[in-house]
Amino acid sequence: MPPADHETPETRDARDGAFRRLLRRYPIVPVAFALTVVGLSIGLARAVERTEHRLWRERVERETAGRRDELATVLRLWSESYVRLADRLGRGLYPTEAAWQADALAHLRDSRDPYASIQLFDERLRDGWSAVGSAGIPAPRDGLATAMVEARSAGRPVVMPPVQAAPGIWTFRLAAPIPNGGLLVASHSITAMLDPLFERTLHGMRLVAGDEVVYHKGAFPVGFAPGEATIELPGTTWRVLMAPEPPSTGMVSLPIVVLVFGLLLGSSLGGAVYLARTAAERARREERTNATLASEIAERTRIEAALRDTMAVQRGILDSASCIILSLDRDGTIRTFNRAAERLLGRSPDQILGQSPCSLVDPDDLAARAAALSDELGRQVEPGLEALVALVEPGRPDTREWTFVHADGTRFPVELSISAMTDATGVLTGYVWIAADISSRRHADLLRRWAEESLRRTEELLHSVLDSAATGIVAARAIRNDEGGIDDFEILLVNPAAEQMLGAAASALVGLGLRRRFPGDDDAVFRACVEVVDTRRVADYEQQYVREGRIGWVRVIAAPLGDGIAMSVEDITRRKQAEADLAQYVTDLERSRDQIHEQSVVLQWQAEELTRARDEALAGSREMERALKIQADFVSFASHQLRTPLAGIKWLLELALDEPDLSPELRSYLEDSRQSADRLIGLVNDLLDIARLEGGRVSLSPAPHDLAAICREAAREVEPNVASRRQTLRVDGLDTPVPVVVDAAMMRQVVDNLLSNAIKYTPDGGTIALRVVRDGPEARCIVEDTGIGVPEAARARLFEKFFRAENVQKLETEGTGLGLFMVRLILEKLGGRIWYEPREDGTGSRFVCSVPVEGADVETDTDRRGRPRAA
Amino acid sequence: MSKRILIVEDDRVLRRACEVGLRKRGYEVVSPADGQEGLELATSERFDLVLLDMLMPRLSGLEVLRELRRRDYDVPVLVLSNSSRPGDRLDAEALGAAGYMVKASLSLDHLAGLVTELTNRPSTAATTEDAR
Repeated sequence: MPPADHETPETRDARDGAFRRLLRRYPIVPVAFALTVVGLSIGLARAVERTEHRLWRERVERETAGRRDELATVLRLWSESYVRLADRLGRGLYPTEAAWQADALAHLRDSRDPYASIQLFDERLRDGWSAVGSAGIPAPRDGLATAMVEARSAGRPVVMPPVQAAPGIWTFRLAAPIPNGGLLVASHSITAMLDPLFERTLHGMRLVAGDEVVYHKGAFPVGFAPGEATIELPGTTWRVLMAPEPPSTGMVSLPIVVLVFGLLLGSSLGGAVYLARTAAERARREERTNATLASEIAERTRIEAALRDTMAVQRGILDSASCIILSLDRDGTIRTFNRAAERLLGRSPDQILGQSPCSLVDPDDLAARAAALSDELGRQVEPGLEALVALVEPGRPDTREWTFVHADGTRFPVELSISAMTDATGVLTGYVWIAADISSRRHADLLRRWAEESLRRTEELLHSVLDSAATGIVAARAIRNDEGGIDDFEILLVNPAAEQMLGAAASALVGLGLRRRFPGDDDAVFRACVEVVDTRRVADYEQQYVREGRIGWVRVIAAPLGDGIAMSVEDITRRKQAEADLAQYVTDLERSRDQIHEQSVVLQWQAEELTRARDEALAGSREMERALKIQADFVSFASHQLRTPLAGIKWLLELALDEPDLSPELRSYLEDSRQSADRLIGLVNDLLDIARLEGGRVSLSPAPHDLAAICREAAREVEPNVASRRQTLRVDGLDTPVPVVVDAAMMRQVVDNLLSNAIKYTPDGGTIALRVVRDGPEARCIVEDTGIGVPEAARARLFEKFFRAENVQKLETEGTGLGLFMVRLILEKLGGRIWYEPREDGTGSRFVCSVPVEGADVETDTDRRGRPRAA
Repeated sequence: MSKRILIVEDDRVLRRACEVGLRKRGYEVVSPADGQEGLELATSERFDLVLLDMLMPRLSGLEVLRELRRRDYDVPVLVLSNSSRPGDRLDAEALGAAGYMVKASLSLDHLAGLVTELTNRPSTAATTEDAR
């Protein structure tokens, strides 16, 4: 995790959501949010209240009207039934009071009202017949006169003002005029009349006649105005007051619920948002602190570990060093030391620590150095610490040789380097001593000097021997030809006596061929030398020579020397002339022979060196051979590894394409995949072929074949491709056999490659020509086309690996630039060549490859390059 | 009765493709996954043709061929390798293989053609074509 210090507001924004960003930028949001929710809930509560009132009012009005209609109907039916009774009276249908009474009582019974009564009055309001309900209370007589007048004058029944027949029993009275005079008054308890009608209603209801409430039922809710309707009755108007049950029961009304819920929701949401924001902030702060802490701890742990490692490494370096390493404080007291110091000085740690380093140094050395320094610096230098560090300056160590004293008193030379240690301000804090034991170095120096000296003396001795010898001494190395035979000898060494005999200075002889230097000696010397080398036997013969007209004799002793000879040549003219000198001569000769032997030992050693060098060179070439074999093995392995999965892909795709129910689309995908796999396999094959050709490991089997037949076969096989492009393939010279020496398969690959290129880079309808001609020791196969040709600039590089001409790259992107390169490689292996020729009319291209014909001098030198012969 | 083919091939994918391809063409196929198993099957059951991979664990194709030759095995063996090292081809043919094909350059159709040809000719004439 990255340290929180690096967390910028931007990265935090990117990590958080939009909501968190908003919160951080506007802290008032939670409060505003809470207030908005409260405001909305108040508004909602008001709206609900208003709607509820409106709905209630509508309902009250609707129900009041309904009740009024029901009431009016009941009253009307009653009225009508009494009017009919009055009618029947008027028409004299009741002969006796009893008959009427029976009918009237039936009416009263029907009403189930114990307070009901019907009474008849004559025009003077005198009581007539009467029928009284079970309660036995007659109808009150109040307002009877007024009713009589109104009814009689209107000729219709009237409803009289309600009165109480008994306390709390309000009556409905109807006065109906009787035709032929008289009045019928029917009285009913309003309660008894209306209760059955409204016993089920839950609403509060009042019936008001004038100012009196004559019927009431249920309670009216507080705060709601009841609905009101009037009932028009004959002669009077009553009012119905009506209020259904309140809309909400109990203390809690819906608006209050909405309001309280809104308030709670608003405040809790606001609070929650605020708390969440605070918590997130705190968590982020803690996270940041923790991360910082963790990275600090990690850093400290790392530094400590590094420090421990460094110290261990330093300790290790110090202890593994073979030289004495000491550190001293500025007063010259030893503070630290390494193992080598203990070992080389033979002292225990307490004999080193806290001691002065002067005790380690030979006192004589110290005294001598002090004296020298005193002279040098022009002041008295004591043979103590100062003598050691006088010349040491910060940044400039003083290095010189000293003699150290081992604990057992022995002395050994050291090269001591003293450097100054300084603190950050450059003030001297102490010294570091590094002392290397140089006793072995001195010994080696001595040995080397002694060896060099003895070598020089030996050389001098040898030279003086050679120089002073009267015998001519010549050493030569065999120059061998390719078959291993000796062509000549190269002169390696000539001494002054030989110079004199040969009549030339050594400088003019060394490096020259023996034979070339002395031509015309009918090669006797040369042949003798060859025999010596071949038989490894010393030859000793005498040879006559002619110089400046005089005949002389030399005796030549030739001894094998590595792959060469050493010869001593002695002028024996005088011996031949004076036998007297023979004895002396023999002595001389014997001496000389000893010398030669000495010399030949040296020469033999040199020759052995040469042999060893040659063997090493041979071993080198074997090394190369092994490398080539490894490469070939690798190529073989890679080919297997690459081709196995490719073959798998290819075969599976073939299987898939064999499936019968493929959609055309899927089939085209699979077909394309298969072609891609084929192309990839082709590419791998090309690369492997080239790797093998380049590694020189391809095995070609050149044999006599007919080039024309090879080309015929190739032409036959590309025929379908040519036809599909509507191109024309012209062949020429394929009917006559042209015997060549090639590897047939490889040659076929060459022709195939060239033809496939021609088809590829020639537009539809173009012409391709394949010709075979014979040209002296070569046969040529020529492939021409009318295609896009090869630009001038590309011709020089056409046969290079991976090279692709610009126009070809534009045409298609699939090529690898390997085809022509491989063609060139193959042809070079076959001793042939390939080149490009522009066509006479400047269009298309022409590739010519040549291979040796059968019977011609086959040259398979792979160094020959397939360059065009002519520009 | 259908011809029996023994496919000795260590690569799972190639083995499967080859197996399915030949079964679809009506051959009965047995396909062990390494040379050792292949050799045991070849010498214990009767087959009409053996298709043999070269580079395999436990026992290589060449070793299988060598062992089969030692036992005078008379069923034709077609070597299917992915190595085009000329030496491999020569070795295989010297050990009596009826043919040597590079798998990557071989289509299943082509392979089926070879199988038909090799299962229908007398086993003694197995090596005539590959004399070169």
